[in-house]
Amino acid sequence: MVGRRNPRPKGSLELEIVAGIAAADGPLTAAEVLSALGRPLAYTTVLTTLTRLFEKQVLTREPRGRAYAYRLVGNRTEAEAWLTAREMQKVLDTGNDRASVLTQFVGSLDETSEQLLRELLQRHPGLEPVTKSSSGHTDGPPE
Amino acid sequence: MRPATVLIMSALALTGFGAGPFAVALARRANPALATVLLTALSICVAGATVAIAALTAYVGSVGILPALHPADWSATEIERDLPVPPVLTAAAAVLAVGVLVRGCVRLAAISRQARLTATAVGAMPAAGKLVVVQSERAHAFAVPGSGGRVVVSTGMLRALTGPERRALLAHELAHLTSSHHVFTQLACLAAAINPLMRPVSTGVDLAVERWADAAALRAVGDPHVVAHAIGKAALAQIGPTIHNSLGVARNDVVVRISCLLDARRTSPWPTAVLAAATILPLAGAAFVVLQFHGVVEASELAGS
Ligand SMILES: [Zn+2]
Repeated sequence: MVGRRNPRPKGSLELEIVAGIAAADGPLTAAEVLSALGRPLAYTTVLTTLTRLFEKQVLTREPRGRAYAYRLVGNRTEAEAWLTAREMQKVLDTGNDRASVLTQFVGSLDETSEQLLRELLQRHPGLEPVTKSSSGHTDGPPE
Repeated sequence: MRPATVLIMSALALTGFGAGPFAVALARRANPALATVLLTALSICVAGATVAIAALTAYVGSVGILPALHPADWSATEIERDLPVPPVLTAAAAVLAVGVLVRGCVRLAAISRQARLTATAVGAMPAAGKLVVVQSERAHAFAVPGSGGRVVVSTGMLRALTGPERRALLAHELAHLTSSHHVFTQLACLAAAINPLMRPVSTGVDLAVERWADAAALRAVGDPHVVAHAIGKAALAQIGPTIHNSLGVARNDVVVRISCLLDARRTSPWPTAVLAAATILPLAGAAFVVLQFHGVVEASELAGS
């Protein structure tokens, strides 16, 4: 079931780029964003999307060399971060009913499952070792 | 003859023909989208049958005790001869009917209250399109339906994943929103509140929607290993600091989902076919019981007139 490689709506590329920037420690240039996405995309596509996100005021940018480096608008001030954390806590607290108002990406694990999971992922090494991925940056092989 | 058949059929319909214990196994093997729809339909059918059979038994059984509540042309003697309902059973059915309706209403109120609270809180947070990024070292990712829907992801989760894995995560959560998965899980949850025997079916629906969203993630990234690693790393990232487990129960379907992705043996149509049959049986059983009651009442009306 490989298929439909690129004809994806613009919206999901925007989300992907925002997620990539949010995962980084500091602001990213278009080239850095492209490498964080880890898939073959045209540089101009990334640049256009970044500009659009900047115009929508989702991202801010600052000059770096001859390019711009982009970061999320949301993570500037301490106060904002604190407020978001509190909102987040409120949301998580309301999630105590399994009515699945929230559909968590993954549930929590017990010890047996954790062990099983580690073995399973080791048996299927996939792209890279599980431990080496905490940076959030990969220069994924562009197929 | 007839009372025994009605009793057995009622029992079978109320227990979903014993499908409950197999729900999770079927959710694991059947086509995820079909499994979601069929399991939800199964639980709704059984919950509906529970209310209908209990209410009907109480109503028809009380024809001799409370004639004022029944149509004048119902003949109590005829009905009691053809389909005798012992007073104890009548009382039990009445209690059951009221009880399950109250339970259902309470659960429905709780679900909609939770949904409103969550949607309001998330709606107030700054979003990039549908994406809400939360500054938190903990690994969180979930979809919140309502008012367009939001995908909430913490920076801790995003940092734990590679670019393609983040894409799989986003595609998974967006699939929850675009296919309205919460409607299925909430309906199944409601059905389980009405008939506790449907709890494993509700668990099956939870697993089926996750597999459904995983399939969407697979279509987005094209490689099952990437999706499997995203799920696995996200689950392992949650272990450390996330002792705070608001759901209160460990959901170990992560391992199941990953093995479904990685051991993609040829899918067989059989689990789906079995599931379809399992959905139709309680519906047929309940219809049979209702028609039997109807037949007896009809006959008594004809005899009375
Ligand atoms: Zn999910």
